[in-house]
Amino acid sequence: MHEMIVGTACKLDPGVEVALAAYRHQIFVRGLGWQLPDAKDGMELDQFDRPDTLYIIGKDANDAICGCARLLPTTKPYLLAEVFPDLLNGFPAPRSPDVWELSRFATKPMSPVDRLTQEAAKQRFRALFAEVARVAIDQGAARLITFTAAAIERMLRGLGLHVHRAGKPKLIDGEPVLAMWIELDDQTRSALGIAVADRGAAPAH
Amino acid sequence: MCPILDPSAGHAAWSHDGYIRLTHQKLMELEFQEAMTWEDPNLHFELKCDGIPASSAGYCEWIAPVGNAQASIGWAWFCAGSTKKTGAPNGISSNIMLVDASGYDLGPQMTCEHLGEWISNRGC
Repeated sequence: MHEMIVGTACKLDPGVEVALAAYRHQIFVRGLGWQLPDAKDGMELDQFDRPDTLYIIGKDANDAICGCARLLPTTKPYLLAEVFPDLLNGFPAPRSPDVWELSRFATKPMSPVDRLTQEAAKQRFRALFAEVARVAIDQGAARLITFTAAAIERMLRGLGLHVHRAGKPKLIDGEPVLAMWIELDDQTRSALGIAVADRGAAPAH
Repeated sequence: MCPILDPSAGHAAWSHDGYIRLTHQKLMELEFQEAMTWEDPNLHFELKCDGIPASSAGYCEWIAPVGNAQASIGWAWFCAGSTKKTGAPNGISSNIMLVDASGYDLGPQMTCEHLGEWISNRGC
């Protein structure tokens, strides 16, 4: 990716906000066929797009959005807890300052004609995910919770991240979807090229 | 070391991090049932790009009750000219963490390896 933009909704340029909503509509509604009741007029936004919601946005060399992710603290309402708590297999929805929810993650180009090679797509995925992890860690996160397709879980494991599912997949809009933990531990940081957590200076002798 | 919560004593099966911790013996005692199996053309394409001669590919999901939760194991598979399913690379996923007799985590990597052997031994 040529550029990464990180910021809360209230700090994003209005043009970027609109472009992001259009990108999300193209990818999730038109591309993946998600049935999102709040999506309309070519824009995809929901009740979790609040002024304090944190976004990571990737842009290509033509200044077009080519990737996005959304981070929400679990100390406030978030998608998995409010809408799909049954994906947690009975585990209580986390409510902790060190757990953040990742949602609306995508790295596909807006236009279907801009196809990437498999390797290029993997590198773009990794780059955006590394930025998401960095931003989350800066916010005090020790782990992420998300829900996604089984294929994404496999991809993250293939990149070397420490991920584990919360429970079995369930069909949502005809697709198997599962909730997943992503530990922002040394294994994940190392896999993404992020500095390993500093455990403090060694004691003087 | 994380405590092994004993589901048979009526405790919740999960640990603080969402893992269901089990010894290998306890894993062997669970009664898993197939929950779903599906073909995935994207996985098929990906495996072929990686040089794996897959004629079809997909995912398989099993579940087993553990106290008031469910142990969940999923695995990616492919067939290469026959109906026998073979595990695809990086394809094993679960909410299980295997522990040794003292209760120490074997870790995600070793847990995955043990689950892979267990899946193979079941002849699936």
